[in-house]
Amino acid sequence: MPDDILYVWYFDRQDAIQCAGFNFIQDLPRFMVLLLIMQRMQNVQWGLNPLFARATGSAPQIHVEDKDLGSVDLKFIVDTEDRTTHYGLRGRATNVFPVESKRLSQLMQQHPSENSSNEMVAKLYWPEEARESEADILRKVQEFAEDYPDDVKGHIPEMVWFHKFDETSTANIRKTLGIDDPERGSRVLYIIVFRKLLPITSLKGDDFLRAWWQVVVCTSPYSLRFSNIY
Amino acid sequence: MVYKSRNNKWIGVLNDYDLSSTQDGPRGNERTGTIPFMAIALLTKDAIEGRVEHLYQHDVESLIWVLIWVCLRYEDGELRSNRPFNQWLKADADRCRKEKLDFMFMGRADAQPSPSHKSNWETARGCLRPVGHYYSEDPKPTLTDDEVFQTWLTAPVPSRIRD
Repeated sequence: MPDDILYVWYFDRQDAIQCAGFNFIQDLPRFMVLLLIMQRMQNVQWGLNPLFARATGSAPQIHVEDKDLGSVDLKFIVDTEDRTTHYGLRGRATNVFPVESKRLSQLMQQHPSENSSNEMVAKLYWPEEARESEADILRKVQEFAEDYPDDVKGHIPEMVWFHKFDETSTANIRKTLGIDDPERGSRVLYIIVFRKLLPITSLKGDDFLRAWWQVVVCTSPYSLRFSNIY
Repeated sequence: MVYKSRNNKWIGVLNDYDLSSTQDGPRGNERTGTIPFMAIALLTKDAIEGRVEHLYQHDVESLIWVLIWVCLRYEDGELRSNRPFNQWLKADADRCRKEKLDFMFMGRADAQPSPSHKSNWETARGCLRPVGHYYSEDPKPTLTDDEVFQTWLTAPVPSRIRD
């Protein structure tokens, strides 16, 4: 607010939108309307996702409607050392933490796995919509792994489920405001649930080096690179 | 990342495909590496501005930086209290490139591996040697993917690990 000119800024994961300024002394009615609107705005209008609005505490629970699975229950275990967080206003803001779900546990157990863990983690993040989605890439990698049962299969993450929260696209407000090229750089909230893995740094000695070597082999020119996955 | 298999073996997993690409897919506008592990050649101004082709040897160099990183910063599966490279985490590409070159030509000689990674550090040094060689050459040789795999990875890694 420089002098008597007021600018309204809107921030989201993509960037900021600045509205044209107006003089709130000379144009007092407009200022009053703005204040009265803001006074009446609910959490959702302030940008809080209604799906997560009531999910609070150390193990927030939500239900997501999936077109194939129906209602998917998710209980996020956020109060743990066992998580990765990225806070901030802008960018992908990747967060990973353990998740419990009856529906997804069922789904996971239908697929045989070498991994002895039956625990799951959720990765919640805001990727760019223009980028090929991680789920699509993982599907290609999984398909490809079938051809390399020794070197690649078993060395890629197991995706249990994913969901794109279409309604959260940062392109929506840009379309509504008539901003040029509203899709450019737009981001959307995405969740992927995986079977749980542990950091390779938890290993030592030969166990560590063998695990590292397996990744070397699976990314070698003779395997993943071969099918143009980078 | 790793998991314990049903017959009690540790299995390595290549994780995090959200910034990877398949040849036909669009690539977006983001940088697709984690600075401390990125190849020195990709931390130059030209590379940041998208004028350097991404090669297999850059991925190999990243894998080698991961190996070095773990040998020097972790002990018995935990972060060491006295660990190098902390500033790499906060540095921008330019600064990190200089730090890495400094490590490659000076720092590596006095690096102190953790006791639980002593033999792995010998392997890491063996991998870093041909990388250092490559960067000190002028003009830089063109390497095939196969040569890179053989000389930077296979030769320095003990055969008991590779079998």
